Amino acid sequence: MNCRDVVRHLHEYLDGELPGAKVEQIDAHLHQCEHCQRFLASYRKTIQLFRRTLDHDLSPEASRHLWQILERKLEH
Amino acid sequence: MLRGVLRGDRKAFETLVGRYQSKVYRLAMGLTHNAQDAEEILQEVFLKVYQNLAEFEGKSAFSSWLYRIALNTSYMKLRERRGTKIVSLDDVANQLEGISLDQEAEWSSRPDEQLHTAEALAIIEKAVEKLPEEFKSVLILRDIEGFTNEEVGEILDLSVPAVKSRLHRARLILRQRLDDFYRQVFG
Ligand SMILES: [Zn+2]
Repeated sequence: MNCRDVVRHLHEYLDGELPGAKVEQIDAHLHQCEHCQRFLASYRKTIQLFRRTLDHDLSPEASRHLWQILERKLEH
Repeated sequence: MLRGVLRGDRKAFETLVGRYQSKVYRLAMGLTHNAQDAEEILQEVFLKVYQNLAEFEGKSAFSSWLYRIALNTSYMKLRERRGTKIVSLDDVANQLEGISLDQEAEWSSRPDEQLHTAEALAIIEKAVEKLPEEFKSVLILRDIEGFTNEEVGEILDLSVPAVKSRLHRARLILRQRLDDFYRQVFG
């Protein structure tokens, strides 16, 4: 297992989709490879940051506005 | 609730809209990056839901059906908006080619990283805008809305390996854009 293999399987590793033997190989590699530890941390951080770009709910005003428009259109 | 809506129960429809409006809004915002477009998409989506609910056969989850409508409506809006640059899958291949596995900046462990979060968010938003729609929708459905690979495959009519590959590639592209940014900041 080299760094490239680790990166290739990172999403499946994080999602718990890999067989146990593969997970152990990646764990062992991560244990002794700082580069891949950093890569994993930055990959996780990217997901977190991406979530934050879209974490807003519809505002109460926009929600009221939406319902007003829908009610009006449903009358026709 | 769905049966209520089918009977023409306005209250049931209001409940349904209340439950799903933010999800549809996030998807529309994530795809169009434009609040006005997203609000128009919202209106169209829920009108379509109301008018076509009888066609929903319950073979898939209601939310999958709703998301398919929301995606199609968003794609239509993108197409009708003039001047929208459609990003092709070739562009993604090019973006991925710039990705190095060797010398990334140490941005994940910087103590002063917090200071740059706002900038990082701006960078990532720009990077998302440059992704093709097929990648954005996978990212949003998986990483924001928390659907499984199988569910995303059903909504987008993709195989599970295709979903996983697009998800991973999209995240790698975003990670690389952030890496470029942090390297500029920290040298
Ligand atoms: Zn490594």
